[in-house]
Amino acid sequence: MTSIVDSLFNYISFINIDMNILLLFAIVVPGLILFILMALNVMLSVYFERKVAAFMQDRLGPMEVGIFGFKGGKKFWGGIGQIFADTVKLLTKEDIMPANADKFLMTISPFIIVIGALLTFIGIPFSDGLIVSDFNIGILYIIAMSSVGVIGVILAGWSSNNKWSLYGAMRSAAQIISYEIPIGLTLLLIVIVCGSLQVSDIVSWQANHRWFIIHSPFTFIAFFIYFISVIAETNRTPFDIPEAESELVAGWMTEFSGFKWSIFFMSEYANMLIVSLVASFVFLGGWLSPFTIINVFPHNWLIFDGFYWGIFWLLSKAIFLVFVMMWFRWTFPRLRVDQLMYVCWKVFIPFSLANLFLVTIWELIF
Amino acid sequence: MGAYILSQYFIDIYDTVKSMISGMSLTMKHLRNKKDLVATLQYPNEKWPQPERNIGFETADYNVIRSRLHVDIDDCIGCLQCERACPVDCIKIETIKPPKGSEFDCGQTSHETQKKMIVPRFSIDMSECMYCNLCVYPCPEECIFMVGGPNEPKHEIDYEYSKYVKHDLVFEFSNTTDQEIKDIGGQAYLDKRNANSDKIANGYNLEAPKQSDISVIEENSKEEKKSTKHVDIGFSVFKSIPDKMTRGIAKKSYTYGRRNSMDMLAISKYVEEAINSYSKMSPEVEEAIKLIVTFAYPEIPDSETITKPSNSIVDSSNNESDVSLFDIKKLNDIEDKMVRGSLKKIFMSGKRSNKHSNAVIEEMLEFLINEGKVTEDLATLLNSLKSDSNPDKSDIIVEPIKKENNIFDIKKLNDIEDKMIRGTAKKIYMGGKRAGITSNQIVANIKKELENSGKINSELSEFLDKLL
Repeated sequence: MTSIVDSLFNYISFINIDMNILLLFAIVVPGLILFILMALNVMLSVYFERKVAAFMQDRLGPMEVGIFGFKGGKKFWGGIGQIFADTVKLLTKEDIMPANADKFLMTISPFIIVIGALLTFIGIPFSDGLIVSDFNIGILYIIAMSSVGVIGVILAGWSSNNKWSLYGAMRSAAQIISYEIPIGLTLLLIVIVCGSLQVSDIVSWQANHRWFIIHSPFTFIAFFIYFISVIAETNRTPFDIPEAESELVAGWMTEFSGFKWSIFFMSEYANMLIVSLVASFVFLGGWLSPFTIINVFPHNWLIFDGFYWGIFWLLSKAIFLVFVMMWFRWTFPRLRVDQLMYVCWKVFIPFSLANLFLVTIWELIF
Repeated sequence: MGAYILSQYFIDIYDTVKSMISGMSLTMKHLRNKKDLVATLQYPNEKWPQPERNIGFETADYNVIRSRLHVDIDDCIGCLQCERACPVDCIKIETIKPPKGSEFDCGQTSHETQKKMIVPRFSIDMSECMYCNLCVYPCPEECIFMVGGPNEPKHEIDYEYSKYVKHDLVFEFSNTTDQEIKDIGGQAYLDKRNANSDKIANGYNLEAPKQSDISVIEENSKEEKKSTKHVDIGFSVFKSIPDKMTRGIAKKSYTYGRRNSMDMLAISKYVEEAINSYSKMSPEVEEAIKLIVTFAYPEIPDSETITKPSNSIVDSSNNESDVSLFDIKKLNDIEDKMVRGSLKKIFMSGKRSNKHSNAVIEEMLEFLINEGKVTEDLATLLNSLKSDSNPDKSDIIVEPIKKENNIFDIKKLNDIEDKMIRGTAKKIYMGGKRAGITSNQIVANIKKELENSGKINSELSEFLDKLL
């Protein structure tokens, strides 16, 4: 099991140049690919979300901007040109800076958030061995990096010199930090069971035994606690109190426009993809096909497993979870602040702690 | 109490999960059945079906529905009564009658009325229409009506006919083809209509006149001024006569000649006679009389009565028209404005550099070929000009006399019965006369044209042959 950086390094090491330059190359290439992936992700996800939202509300969504012969009709691809129109619109919009804003912080805060998202991708696998770096503290690294965004949120709220933006940022930070705890506790559960923080170890444990979601009742509950908590952490409905579009005009993002705002957008959808990928490789068997959900089939039966099938399975699991997030968004009304905190501190954290205790007993018995 | 709260806690969680599942299943139901449940109507592409009408009594009694005018053009006999009835003039009808004796069948209406003409244009501007329904009553064939209501069986109601531009609200009902118009002998109508549509089309790309065009126009106006001057100069010629009495007689007789639109030659003769009758002839008078003729026919220096004007006279007369050049007015026959302007420009530059007319015409032809605007008519016109202007200046004869000698009288053409053919023939005659071709050529041209439009018959050709 190797990582992208390692294999790239091996491939190009026959060129007789300085080690440091090779290393730089091996790092820049996956970085670029990840950035392009994030950009594509935001374009497609926005369209996907608009379509899902429209169909769930008996509407049609974008229909008029068709390309490649897709236009109109009650079809999913009817307005696929919208993604390009949206991109062009966002990138060419005027970049407004409020008069008394802290210009430096306001400029860097979107980039802090997007860098947090980009760095998280280093520890995220896309298939067996298709990971930028497969280090032994993978899960810990992912949790740590996904919290970097909070700094950007606080800076964005502060620098825009708008008291409501600052309030929004405070709420958002409070929410993100609160929900870090159940996320950490549920992931700790998995770490306890499989005995490793490394991503590849977690998936290979699932290949050898069974997927974590059906491993025990406690991991089953843990999956839902994790999934709902990450929805709250990515500030999505029903937990989007900090940016409640209909009431607060995007909360801490109010003063941002144009390119900076599109960076926020990009990081939001990148975060959605990240948490879905984490949920799929931690609980849903990662790049393993659904036939490995329990380890009963002999090894040579599993023709749908492999490197390329792995990409397909992992991405389809992640995209399904992204879809479920959208499904949530267009089903549930927004929570109140006290309900938000109630769910976190009075439900998820006690349940995760109980889970943690009970799963250790479960492991001792079975 | 504590146990109660704890149980309530779990009941709340259970309820939450249950309601979450039921809520999500609801949205999923909508997502899965999106084809049936979608409420959006993509308006310009889709429209709701018209709802059933139930206004409490028979629609046939209800004659107030005024949604849109419609014309059953097959029933229209072109009587123009609706056009006259319209208070806002939003109906425009154009008709063509087949010529006398024509075999063309205009068809019958559904009331079995024989139609006497075709209707190549029947347009109703619904943006101007005020729905007064007044055009409907006079129609003898009941072919114009408001759709819907009592006319529902004829045409269903059109309750919205929104358009993107106002011009699209002009509804054209005529279904006459160009071929039919041609068959009925409406070539002139077609040409006019096409010219009109061209004009409109050109109007959409209006451009400021080019600098070259402006200069051509200016030159033309200068030229015109000059020419008017040189007619009137004849009058001032007599200034050189010292004797008051003689001058008066000369001027009077000159004006008399002008008023009776006499030829310049005749005028000069008349003036000469008048002065001779008073026996006041002097060398100055003779000179002046000569000058008159020189101004009028600068290119006819040699004739029986008039001696060749000396160079000094030409110079002093301030009229340096080159003897070898043809008249610029002949170019006025060219229809295309652009070509005319360009050719006139070439003419003027040739005139200024004292070029021979053949050389000038060569230049013109070259220009036309380069521009790709050369047509048969143009080439023949220019060539005819070429043959006209003989390089031997001294031997030239008076032009109008020459033409009239060679060509048959136009009145002979009046014997042609068909108006259309007569008009065409006369047109060709005049064109030929202007171009200075012989009667043989004119007759040949007429025959050719008639053959093209398929109007020739043996009687006509015999008649034409007789003319020669």
